[in-house]
Amino acid sequence: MGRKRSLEKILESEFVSISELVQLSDVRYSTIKYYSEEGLVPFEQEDTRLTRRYPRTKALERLAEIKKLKEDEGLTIQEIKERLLQ
Amino acid sequence: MLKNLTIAEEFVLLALDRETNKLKSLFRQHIALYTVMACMVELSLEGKLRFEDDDTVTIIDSAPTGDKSLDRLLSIMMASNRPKKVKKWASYFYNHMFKQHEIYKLAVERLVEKEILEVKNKEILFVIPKKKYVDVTNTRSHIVEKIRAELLEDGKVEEHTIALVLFLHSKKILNDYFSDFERKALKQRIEKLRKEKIFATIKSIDKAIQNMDAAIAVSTFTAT
Repeated sequence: MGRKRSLEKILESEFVSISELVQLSDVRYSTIKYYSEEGLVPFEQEDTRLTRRYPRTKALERLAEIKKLKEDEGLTIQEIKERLLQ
Repeated sequence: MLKNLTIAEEFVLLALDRETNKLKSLFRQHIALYTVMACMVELSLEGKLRFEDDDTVTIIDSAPTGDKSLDRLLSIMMASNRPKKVKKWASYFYNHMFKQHEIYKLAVERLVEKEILEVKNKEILFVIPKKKYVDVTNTRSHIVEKIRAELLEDGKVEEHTIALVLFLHSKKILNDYFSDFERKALKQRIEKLRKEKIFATIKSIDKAIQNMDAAIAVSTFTAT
């Protein structure tokens, strides 16, 4: 995932990079990074020095779920974390 | 995952940043005093003390929190003959260097215990011993990401994060971590939050932070 991929390619991929996830979800880069660190967004990483790979469908679903909980139920990130990681 | 940190611990971490440290000498000089003030803010958030309308600090729960720096501050405040105003407490700690440094040291030790900070002993010119603190888990970035995720995105914000940002703003630390654009957005969000229900509890903390700064400025001016 070194070179910039076309949107068609990204949409066909099982795994995407964080930048591609930003492009698909319209969620801020640092926010996705924060959610990932908090265990809210799933990712795979073979080594701590290697790039994180996000399962496209699951990650997008999770981001949508977080957005829904924020908007519809007015939960804070901490409360969302408690709800989703129970 | 971000470990539960107090406002004081978060402040200490962000203030210890060596790479982006463009802090004024006045700030470096008062890091221990500011840590004490941050502990006071944390105690207020934890419902241990209250900042009254007339600025008096009232202890409402003296039971230990389990955090050494907070408990030490609580015990010092409890030992006072009568309740003091925020400004009086700020000048008290300004004049009691040993006590402020004791609390600061406890906050740093706690970060080391939590394996967030690592202390490396260094020597300047091979003679003068100096301690260097390393943020081993890159928690600083995580705190900044937390602020961005909560305040620069839509949604409900934790009281803790608002208080942290207000405190960091008063110490001008935000300049080291956020771009001009982000700081403007943070300011706008805080202004918006001021009109919301959540700010009712933060209002007294906001006022207390301003009073602490005023008292420190007066003490510094009088001392020089």
